Amino acid sequence: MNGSLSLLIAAFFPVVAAPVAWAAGRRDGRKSIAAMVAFTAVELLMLLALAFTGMGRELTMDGFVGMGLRMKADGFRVLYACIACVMWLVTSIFGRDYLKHDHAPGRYALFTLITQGATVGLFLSDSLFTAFCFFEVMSMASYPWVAHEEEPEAMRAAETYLYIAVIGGLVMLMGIFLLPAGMATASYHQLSELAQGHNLWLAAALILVGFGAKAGAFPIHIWLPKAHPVAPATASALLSGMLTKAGVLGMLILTLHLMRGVTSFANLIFWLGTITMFLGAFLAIFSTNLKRTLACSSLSQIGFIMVGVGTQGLCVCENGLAAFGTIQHMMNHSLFKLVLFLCAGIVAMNIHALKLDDVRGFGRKKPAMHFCFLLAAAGISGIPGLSGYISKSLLHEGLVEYIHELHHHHLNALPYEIAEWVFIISGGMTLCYMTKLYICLFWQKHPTRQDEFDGMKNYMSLPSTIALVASACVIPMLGLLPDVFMTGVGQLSQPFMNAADPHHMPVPYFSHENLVGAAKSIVIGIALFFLQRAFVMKKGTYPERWPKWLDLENSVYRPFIGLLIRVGHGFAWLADHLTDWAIVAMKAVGGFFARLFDSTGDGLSMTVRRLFLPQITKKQPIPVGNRLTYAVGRGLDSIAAFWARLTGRKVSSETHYESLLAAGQHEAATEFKRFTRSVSFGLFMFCVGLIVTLVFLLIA
Amino acid sequence: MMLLLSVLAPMLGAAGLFIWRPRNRKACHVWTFAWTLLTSLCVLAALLTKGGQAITLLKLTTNLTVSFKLDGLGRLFSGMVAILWPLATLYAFEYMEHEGGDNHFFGFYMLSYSMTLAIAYAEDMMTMYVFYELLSLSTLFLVMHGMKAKNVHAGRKYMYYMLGGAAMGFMSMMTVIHFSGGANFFYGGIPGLKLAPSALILPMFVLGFLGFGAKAAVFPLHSWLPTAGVAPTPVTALLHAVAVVKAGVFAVIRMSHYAYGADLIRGSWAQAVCLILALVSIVYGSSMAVREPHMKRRLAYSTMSNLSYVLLGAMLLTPAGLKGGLLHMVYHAFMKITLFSCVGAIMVKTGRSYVQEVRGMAKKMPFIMGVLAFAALCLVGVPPFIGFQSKWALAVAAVNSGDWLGVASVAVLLVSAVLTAIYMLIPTIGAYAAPLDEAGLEKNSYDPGWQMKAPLLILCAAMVILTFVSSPLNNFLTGFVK
Repeated sequence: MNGSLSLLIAAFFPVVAAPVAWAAGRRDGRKSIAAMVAFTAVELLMLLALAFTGMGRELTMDGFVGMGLRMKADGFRVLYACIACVMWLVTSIFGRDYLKHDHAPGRYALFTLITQGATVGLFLSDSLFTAFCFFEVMSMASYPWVAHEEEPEAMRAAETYLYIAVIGGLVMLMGIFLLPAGMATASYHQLSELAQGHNLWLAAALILVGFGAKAGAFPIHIWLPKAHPVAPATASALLSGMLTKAGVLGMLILTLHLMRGVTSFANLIFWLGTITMFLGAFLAIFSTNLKRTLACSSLSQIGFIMVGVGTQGLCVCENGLAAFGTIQHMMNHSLFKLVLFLCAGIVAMNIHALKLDDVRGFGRKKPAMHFCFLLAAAGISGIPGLSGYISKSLLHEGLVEYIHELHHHHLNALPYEIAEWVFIISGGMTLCYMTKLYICLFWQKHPTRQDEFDGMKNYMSLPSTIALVASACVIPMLGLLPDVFMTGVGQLSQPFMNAADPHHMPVPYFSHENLVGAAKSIVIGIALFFLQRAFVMKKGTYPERWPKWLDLENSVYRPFIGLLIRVGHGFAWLADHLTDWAIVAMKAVGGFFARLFDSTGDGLSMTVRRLFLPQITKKQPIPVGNRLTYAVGRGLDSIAAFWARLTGRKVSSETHYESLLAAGQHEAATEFKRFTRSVSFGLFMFCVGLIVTLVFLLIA
Repeated sequence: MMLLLSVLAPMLGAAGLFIWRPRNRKACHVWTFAWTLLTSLCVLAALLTKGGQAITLLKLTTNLTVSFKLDGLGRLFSGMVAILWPLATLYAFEYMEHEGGDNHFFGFYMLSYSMTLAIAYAEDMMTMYVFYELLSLSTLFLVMHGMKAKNVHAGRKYMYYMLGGAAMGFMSMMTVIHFSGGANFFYGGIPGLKLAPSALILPMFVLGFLGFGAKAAVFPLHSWLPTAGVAPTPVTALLHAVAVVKAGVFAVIRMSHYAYGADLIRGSWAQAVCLILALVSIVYGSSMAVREPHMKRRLAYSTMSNLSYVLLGAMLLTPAGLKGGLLHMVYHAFMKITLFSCVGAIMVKTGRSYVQEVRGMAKKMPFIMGVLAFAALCLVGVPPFIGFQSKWALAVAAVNSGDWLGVASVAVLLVSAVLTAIYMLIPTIGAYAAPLDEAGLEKNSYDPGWQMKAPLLILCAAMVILTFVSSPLNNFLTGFVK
């Protein structure tokens, strides 16, 4: 073992603490949640201590879990581990409210803490093997979140989640196996060197499947809009805000380290990101469920981040802006989704409904919730002055810079110009669906329950309010002082991302072009919102218009898996019977040969006889008998007929005495003829002759 | 001396049981357990005192002998068997309550133990073959136990396959003996065989693989296993669970790495054939396990698939592959005995044995279900648990073998892992999340007593320890797999 144990402790403390939290709540579930809050706070303190004192620490443990463990604490990793911990802390505090009347708070605490440890470990990892181990533990331990409600819908979503987690994990494993020896356990920064001279496209693509599935990238995003909404709101916030980032982390490793300089791979990420970005926003506009809209929004935002990752990979030298934008948007999205999902959690725990029709007007006269939701919604939509504007502008700016670079080299930039427009339109769509939610929650009125909603004053406890409002306040803080915070975040992550410094330092966040870009998005967003109001909504209600045909799960994946299983069964059935058939066949063949050899001798002699002693076979005439048999036969027949008539039985043809007697006579005649021709008959007659002679002599 | 003692002890125990025929079931169990434990102690003593000196039992001709010796591989296998067998015996006691015929059963059970140990100790091909045959014979009575028409049918089929296998093994053995002059096993292959014509050696190797693999239920000689599983006898689970099937795997490893030698076969068509057969068995076993609703039989199929993992590792014919295979052999033994015990506990305590019936059972048997879930996660290969480590080692070895079959092996391993996840995790999750069918379950808890809990806890602890501290075992393997 080499290096600092503090990294290992940071990753394993929550895992070890998890059973304690579970045990604490055996009698009273609330104690589990309280223990979870306490342990998460301790973990956060440890990580902060690591951030301030232990930056740059490394840890390698050979032989740990078979292959060895490798962890490192650099700026990006510690930052994201800290963000993860903050999110866990806020959701845990909120969980004291949300899970007060829950059926299994102990289980929730157990798996939440395990997932926390795995996520921290994943972000601190420094080799693909280590990352894979933590990633799998995280996937498996987060399964109970999705299945938590134990309702049929949740179970189905959880089943899909598990399938995707297992299959994604194994495909990723296959990719890791295909790497040249030693790469799986090498530090990320060594990967690009080690990859020299190897074609790692297949391996990287397979690893991408695993990470992409977790991030929700097209076309393996299917589980995400189903799984995130059915989990408890606190878990949804973590799933959307944090676990997707684990996937993004993997994409960063692949694009910036393993496949560094491979433009085609960066293009793959870029275009998948573009599709995801648009598709997520499109689905969100049509969604009529509060949490599902937020989940679709997550898809879309992950698409934005992927575009950033792709851009970084594309422009190898001038990737500073894109790198800044990527990490900032990752952080921002975590923050927005934390606030938004917890707001959805407030709705869910108070009125146990999430359909937009049912939650209309819930937020009226609830200033704290209104404040938080508005900030987060405006932030995610990219309104200047809030943090979302900063990161989206940088992502956009990075893309524009790449287009300039292409123009500069007189290359075709048209696809990227289209992508830029998709980017702006998706930004507008974000504004559109966020406005939809905002208006629905805070301005519309519920036709019947509005008074009841207005009367709910104690809709969340004081600690939850403080945690939520504090999280929301970060959004304008980051947005108004970008040079302090956002640039700092970007610079912290530069070493990990292998990124160059941006052109202009300090970064001109509020430059003319950026503001124009934001304005474009806002105008498009407002236009889209009114279109949506006119065509998707119906007199202030939200009819179900979810595009079912876009559901790849039911149309493609499930049938495919069913087919696979059936093929497997067919194969097993075949294998089951193959040997038995072989034995039957062997028996038949063996029997055939045995009979063959059995009758060879006979057959030979028969053949010889046929050859050398030809036998002329005449057609035998049907025996007719003689007069005597005819007469007797007729007599017997008539008696039989008479008897039959007497008893009422039918005369059977077999007892036709006339022909029977004729046949008998013929046979007797033949036999007699044969007998008379034989030697013994001659001898016999000779004896008879002798005796007659003797008698004659004696008498005479 | 300890070697001889440990082979003789169970024989004496069995003979005692056959002569004494105690009427009292308890007496029979105590007697059996005492002798089993004694044997295991002898084995452990032999392992610890490095009592590996050779003993010659019989001299058939001047250079054809029946003799014992303990080397690294034998040490590993006999140690594993010695630990597993008493546990399996305990488990069998509970099972046999429904079956009857204890004296008969445990007599042959101890005989099988003796034969398995003898296979582990065998110093040359001849010895191994003799005891392999004897093992087939003594387990025949376990398969036929119950003596109903079904059991007899299963037994007959078992015998066909075993004798057929042994016939192939015999040909293979004669080739080895002919060219090596009855020499002892030697890691890396008996030198004398290098002079033999490869046109003869390669087919004989395949025959030997099939012959000794028959006991490990390798495709296409696996069919006795489902048949034995269909017969409703608890014995099959026992047979599939522990060391009897592993004796087949052990024999194949002995033959391939210690008689023919990896260098002789590597890269030939014979290796390809054996690898493909192992791969087919893996997929077959996993697919059948997915389809099988009976928990115990599901585990039996799973065993078949996992044994072929070991064979796959051995047939890669590289030290890394053999190491991965042996690692999996040991780990799988731990995981599977735990799983079988859990399922057995459920069957005995609640009378439920189908996947559908176990839904929601976590409410009634929290302890057993917890252990089951843990072992299932290990078996699926969720990192960082032991199943993952051995599968990783296998897959890395497969990839490093460098040809297309290696890559195909990895793909098959992963497909099988998906299937494992399906057949292990779905019942586990069902046990926690699905509603319980309360019919016939009035009590609050059906967890078994401490006699069953304690071994399970020990096993779980062992698995956790192996997860995080696997280097001693790795070093031990590296000690004799160079």
